[in-house]
Amino acid sequence: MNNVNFLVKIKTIVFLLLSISAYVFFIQKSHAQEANLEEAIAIFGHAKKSSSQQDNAQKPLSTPSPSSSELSKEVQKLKSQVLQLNRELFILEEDLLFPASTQIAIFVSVDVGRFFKLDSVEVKINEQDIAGFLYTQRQRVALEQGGIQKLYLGNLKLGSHQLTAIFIGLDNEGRSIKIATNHTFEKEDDSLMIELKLVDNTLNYRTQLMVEEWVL
Amino acid sequence: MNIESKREGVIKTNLHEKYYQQALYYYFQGDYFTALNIIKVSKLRLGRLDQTSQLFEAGLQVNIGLQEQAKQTLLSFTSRYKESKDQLTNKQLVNEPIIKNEPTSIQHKENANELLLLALLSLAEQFLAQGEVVQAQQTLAEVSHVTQRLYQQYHVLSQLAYWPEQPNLLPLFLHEDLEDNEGNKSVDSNLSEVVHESPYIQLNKALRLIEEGKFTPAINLLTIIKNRHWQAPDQTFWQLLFATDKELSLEKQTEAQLQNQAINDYARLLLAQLFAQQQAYEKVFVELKTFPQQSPYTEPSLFLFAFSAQKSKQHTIALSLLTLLHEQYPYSHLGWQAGLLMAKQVTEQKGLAQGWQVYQNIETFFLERIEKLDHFETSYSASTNLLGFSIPLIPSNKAFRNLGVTPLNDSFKLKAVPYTPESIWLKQAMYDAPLNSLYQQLSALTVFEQYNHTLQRKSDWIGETIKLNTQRKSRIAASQSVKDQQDVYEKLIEKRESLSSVLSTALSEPQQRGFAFANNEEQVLLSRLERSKEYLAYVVEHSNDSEQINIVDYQQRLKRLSAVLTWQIKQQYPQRAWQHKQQLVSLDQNLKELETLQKKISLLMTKASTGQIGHSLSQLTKRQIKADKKISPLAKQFSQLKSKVSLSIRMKVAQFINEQRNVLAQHLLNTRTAMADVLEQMSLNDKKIKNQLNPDVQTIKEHRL
Repeated sequence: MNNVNFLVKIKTIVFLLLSISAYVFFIQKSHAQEANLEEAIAIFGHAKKSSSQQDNAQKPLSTPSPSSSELSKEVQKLKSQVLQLNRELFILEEDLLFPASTQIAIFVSVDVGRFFKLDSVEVKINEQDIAGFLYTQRQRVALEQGGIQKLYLGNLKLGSHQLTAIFIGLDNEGRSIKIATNHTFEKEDDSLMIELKLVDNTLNYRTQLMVEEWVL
Repeated sequence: MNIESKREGVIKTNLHEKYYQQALYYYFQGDYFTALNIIKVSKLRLGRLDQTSQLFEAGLQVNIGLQEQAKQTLLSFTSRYKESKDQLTNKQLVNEPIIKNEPTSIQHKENANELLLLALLSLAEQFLAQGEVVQAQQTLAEVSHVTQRLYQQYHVLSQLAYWPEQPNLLPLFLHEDLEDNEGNKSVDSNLSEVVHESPYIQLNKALRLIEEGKFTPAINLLTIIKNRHWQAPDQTFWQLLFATDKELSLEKQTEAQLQNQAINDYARLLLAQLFAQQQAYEKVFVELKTFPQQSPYTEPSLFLFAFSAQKSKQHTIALSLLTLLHEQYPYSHLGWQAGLLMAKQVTEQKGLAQGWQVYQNIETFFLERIEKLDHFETSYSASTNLLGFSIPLIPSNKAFRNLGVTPLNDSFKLKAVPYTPESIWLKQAMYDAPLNSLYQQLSALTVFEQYNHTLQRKSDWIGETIKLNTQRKSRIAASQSVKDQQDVYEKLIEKRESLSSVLSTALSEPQQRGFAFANNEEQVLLSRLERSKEYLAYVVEHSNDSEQINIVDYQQRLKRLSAVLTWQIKQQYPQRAWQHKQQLVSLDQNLKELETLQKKISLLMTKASTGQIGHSLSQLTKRQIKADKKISPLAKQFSQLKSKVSLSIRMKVAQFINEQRNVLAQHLLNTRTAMADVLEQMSLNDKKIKNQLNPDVQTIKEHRL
């Protein structure tokens, strides 16, 4: 529980730092007054119970943190506004460049990836290369953990088309293998979303490539 | 399940889940901004978010430092969840049947309950982080049951929210279907297991015992904690999501080991402090003897160790440790303090002369520190760019400059990098959490400000593209109207009709009209034959009898040639007739498609001109203008807010400098006082020695007086 760890870490560290600062303060005081360190420790021991500073140290998160300040709220608000603006422009751009009547999007997903270590993918529509991707380890892990990658977003005219997808990767024994498929589809007036799914088949310990057209 | 509904035989894809998974793809790569963007886009596209996506949204907001928005999202999530829960309860009260695949099965209900619990805990954590303790307490009070997995988090948050009071903790919740007695036993055993297995609960317990002055049980507990190997609990996806200090590291094992070590070290240090309070210095010495060098708590443990060594009459070790501390931590208070103690010990152990020498070194050290602090103050005050004080530009800024802006560029990402200064003084100052937070805010503001410039360029690009598209559409419209005027389509229809009639004629009289399907070569030959026939007819009319024999011969040859050609054409007739029929069918199809297309274009042109289409260019233009208008005010706000944050930072740094100067001045004063004492002692010693060497002189003086 990292978040809990984090809170406790803050609590303990702040407690410790304030204990130390109190400790140092008394040591310093004792030195100036030529008191010995033993007294300083003793004073620290008593001071720990009486000092209001120490009480605050015991509940570091109950005191207002900078994030609760007005300044912090203003910063958050501004950041939020920029993100909203970015979103608006993103949608505007998508609507402008890829209107629904011609839009085609191709997605890639992996379920679960035990028998196939994905390395790269190539996608063609009507024999023409439209997308290719080389995966890093992090990207592959992101797919294996349930993510879906939007591989391609483009435009296509109405009618019948053929999609070819070739996945390259390694099998369980580290041999390079290719998994490919051909899929014929009809582009109509609505957006077309095609998902290329690499699915583990536990019956033959191989990965199957399935094509799913999303029904909007 | 991907399928959410089944209507009229059409199974619709669950787009909420698909968007969520797309966001996950970026989340697992640490790109929280893009992930959040996808979730927000899905909200706009689909009209709402499902519960999972909403909780995910809150987690992402926490990750990118939007605590306030996360709080709102979590509040909305909990209220929505309660509504749906109430609806469910009412449904069950009136004994409505629960549909098998409806998401109200026991399993789903348990998951949803845990999600709600997690949301409440996360919300409480947000309140605590923002110092809103009462609201955190209220949120925790809404928790009705706690599962084993989240009990540790609940326990610690409750302690923090109610500190120094003892919170009323809920018992552990198991399954609803367990029998009462059996359930109680399990609850007790599981609760004790959770409490026993959690290092943080144990540490908090020890802290509470120290607070209450119960040192013996505290010592016993800390001894257990420091000796035990703590197994980091498995974390669920949601717990990781809301964790603010996570690293999506692949080396989780190393991280777990480090955490385990830190817990042990902290327990050991607390134990040593308790022993020191009880003046059991031998125990402190033994406790810290094997303290690891690489630990977050090395510095205070070193100091305590030196002190206990001194008390345990281990003077050589104490001196070495103080020297080490002074040299290794030249900018820390403990390091400075260690310097003074070191000089004092040298004076006591090795004599005044050596002590004087060390005090002189320490004095020089403090003077240098003060001088460096002054230099830092001057250069910091002179710097106009606070982030550039140590580093000219943060790495992410450079990346933004080279970014393309369109189309939907994947590299068009926003990522704030935590600011780390190079100046040692600034590093020291940034141990102060509020100052650190202000610096991070300034860094984030700078990144967002530059991103805002990028958005401006993007907006300009979109505006330009819309303009070009508008021009293109105008050209198409003009061309369309010209085509309409020229009746191109009608002419094509006419042409088709004439071709159709030719074909019909050819098909109706196959024997005579097979020539209609002759190819180019055959057409040439047929033309030549016709011409030859005409020539011969002319020659027959204008020739005499003697020439008739040759003419008959020509006519026969011509007839033979004609017969051969006719035979060839007739041979090809069925095949050619079929081909032409197919071509006519195909032509009809093309004309039909053309007609549909023409109608569609006309419709689109009409709609576009009247603004009926949702994404017509005129509407896109309006949206672009609306977005564009927001950019400039944002730029102004960034500038103003950066000034405010910079001012706060400068004030905090100035305060830090003053504090450091005061501490250094105090240390310098102490050093000089100690030096004066040493001098005085040396002088007294000298006098004593002198008196011992010349007792007669002293006696004479006394006599004179």
